[in-house]
Amino acid sequence: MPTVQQFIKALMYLFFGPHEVVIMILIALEIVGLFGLFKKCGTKPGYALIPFYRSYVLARCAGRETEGRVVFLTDLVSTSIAILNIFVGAEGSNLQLILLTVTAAVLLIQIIYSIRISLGLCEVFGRKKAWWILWALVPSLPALIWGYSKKFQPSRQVDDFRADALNTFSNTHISAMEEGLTVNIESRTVPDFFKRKYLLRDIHMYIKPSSMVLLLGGSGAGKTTLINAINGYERAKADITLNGENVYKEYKKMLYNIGFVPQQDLMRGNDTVLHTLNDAAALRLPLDLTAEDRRNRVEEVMGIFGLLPVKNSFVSKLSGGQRKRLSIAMEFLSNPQLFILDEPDSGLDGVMARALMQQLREIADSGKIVIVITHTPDRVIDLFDDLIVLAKDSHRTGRLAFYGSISEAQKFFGKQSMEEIVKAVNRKEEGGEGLADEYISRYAEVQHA
Amino acid sequence: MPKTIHLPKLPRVQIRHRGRLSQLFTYYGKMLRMFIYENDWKALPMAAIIAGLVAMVIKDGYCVSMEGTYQGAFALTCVAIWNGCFNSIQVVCRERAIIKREHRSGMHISSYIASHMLYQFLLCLLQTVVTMYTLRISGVPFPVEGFITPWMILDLGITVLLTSYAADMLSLLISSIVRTTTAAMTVMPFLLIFQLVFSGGFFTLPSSLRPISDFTTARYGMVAFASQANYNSLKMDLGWDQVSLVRYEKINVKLSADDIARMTDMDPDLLKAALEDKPVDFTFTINDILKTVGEETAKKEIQERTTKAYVNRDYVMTKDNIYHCWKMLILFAFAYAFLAVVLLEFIDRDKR
Repeated sequence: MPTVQQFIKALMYLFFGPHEVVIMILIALEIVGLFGLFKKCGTKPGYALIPFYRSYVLARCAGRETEGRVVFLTDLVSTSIAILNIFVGAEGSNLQLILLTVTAAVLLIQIIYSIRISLGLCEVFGRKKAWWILWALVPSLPALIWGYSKKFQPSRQVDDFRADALNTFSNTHISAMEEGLTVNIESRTVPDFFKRKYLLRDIHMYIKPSSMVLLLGGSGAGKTTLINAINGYERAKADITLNGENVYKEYKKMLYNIGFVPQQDLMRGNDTVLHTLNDAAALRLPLDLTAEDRRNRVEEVMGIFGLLPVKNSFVSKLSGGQRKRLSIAMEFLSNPQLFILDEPDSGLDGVMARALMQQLREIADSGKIVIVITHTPDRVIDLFDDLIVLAKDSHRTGRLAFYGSISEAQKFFGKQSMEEIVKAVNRKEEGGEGLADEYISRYAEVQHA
Repeated sequence: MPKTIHLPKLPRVQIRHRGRLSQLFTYYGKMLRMFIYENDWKALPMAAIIAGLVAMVIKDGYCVSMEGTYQGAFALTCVAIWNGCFNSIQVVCRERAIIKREHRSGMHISSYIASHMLYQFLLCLLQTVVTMYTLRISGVPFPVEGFITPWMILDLGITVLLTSYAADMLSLLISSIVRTTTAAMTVMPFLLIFQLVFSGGFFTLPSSLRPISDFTTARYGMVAFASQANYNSLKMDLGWDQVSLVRYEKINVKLSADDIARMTDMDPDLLKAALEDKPVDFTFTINDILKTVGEETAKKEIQERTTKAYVNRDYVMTKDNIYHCWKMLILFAFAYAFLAVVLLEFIDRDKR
């Protein structure tokens, strides 16, 4: 049975680590220093009192959140091991040897990452990098100086991660249609350490059949997140219906009704085109089709995508355009009603890219919905019907900045080219105009009206 | 490219797709093609080369003497584990993105891993045939008559197969955990070192660490190889070889009258008087002793005693013991494969 003494010792470990009284005083001073420092950085000073968590908050002040997570976890692990050692440690035992080895490894990681955090703090406070030595040796001293001296001011504040996203919402809900794609995404979030991160919010649209839609947005705007939410691969708090059927509720069925072509050509290079398509057909086509029907379908799709001349070639020997067409053909086998393509023209020259897009236009004209992400839209913009513009709001959440026809988009943004539109909604530090919030709010009002 | 597309309407009511068993054979077929195209066939000549090298070292000792059998069992375990590990350490991680794509297209992870299990079993079987054939033609002296089956080469072949298959499945598990081939090849040496060091075969483990060896496939391979060679019934040459190494070394000792009296049953008082109570310097070699007691007698005595000292209860040649090792190896193989399925089910959570 653990004794009271052991519990007290464990508690001391939790708050101060394995230290003597003098060191405990220094840690208390560090907490006082961090109190002031956190206040300066625009976060709650009280966090300085929370063991482990204060390291994470300090890292956020330094703009090194990733390092903060590592230090938080390593701190937690090393302290847990130390406490475990109090209760079970028999000196010289194998268990103690293992615990010591793990502790040494964890502490080494912790030291390296703590140095990275100190360097981040030096950047934020505009101080010489040599300060990291003091932060590493006697953290209480720089914490007190940086926390309370007026000469030490941070160049930026910590984002309040508990704050909500841009609070202009469309308050829209589009009724599901019998035909076409209806998207009602309330939010798509992911747990992110001590917070819940919004990746997407308030996206509502209806895409009619036979549409070819361009999905535009700067990097990190949430384009891939949006298409994954639409096809049900990464579910959002949303209501997505395709031709009257709920994608999430009927996921197994809809799996074969939605074709997603990833950006990379994810196929086995040492397999032939025919074998690749045969295997894809075996996976995607209904079981009730006869082997002959399946063979015919494969032949037919190879014909549609111009792959018959290379059907016995290895995938690794195909040109970029052929590989891309094969990748699309694999999804096309099951005759999906919704086709989503992530940068299908990447790595293709202008002529090949246009030929590919024309083929996608023909697919759309056959009654399907085709959504395309591309970073070079202007050379093929005449082939698209509609445009979706996604933008990161000031809280870095992906929001709908526009959905409508190309001409309407040009009018809405006051820009002629698609590249200008992307530039308008991109953040200033990304070389854009930083007008995302403005357009998001304007479009939300338009939608609401 | 054609200008117009005539798309046939597929029957939308039929939504049943291929089940696990059917997918298993689709992937199995794919892997058999890869055997030729993706150079997996190179595992066979590699197995022959490794077996040939090992045969040169073990052919004079395996199934002949205790120490030779011990070394031979360890070497055969190493061969089997090496072959198994290299067969599959990269197979999953190198196509992880493809698996992710296929998984979202309806591929069952269990079918994918089961097809690997089937394919890797075939590969291990072929490697075992090549290994056993190479050992046989290299002159490794297996007994002809088997203990479990009518042929010893088949008995040992089963152990080689199961040991390499269990190692193969362990590598498949590692390959399902790591994201890149570089990470897989970094983990691989740790895996091999852990297996061989903690098998408790070649290195004596402290008693507190011995239970770890129960969780290594190498241990069961080693025990099976040693048991099948009837380790405990063989003679141990090590003791006599050590004596032979130092037989002409001169040994100097100072003996007192009491020491001599104790060894010779002479009267100590008489000896003390004769030697004036001073110690006497003696110089002799072990050869002198062997001549005195008779070389053959000494050799026999030393061999019998060292053989008795080196008897290992783990290596007892019983059907139960060998079946137990085989069962454990099969159990490990299936457990690793099961874990690989469970872990790979989370592939959708891979970061983009």
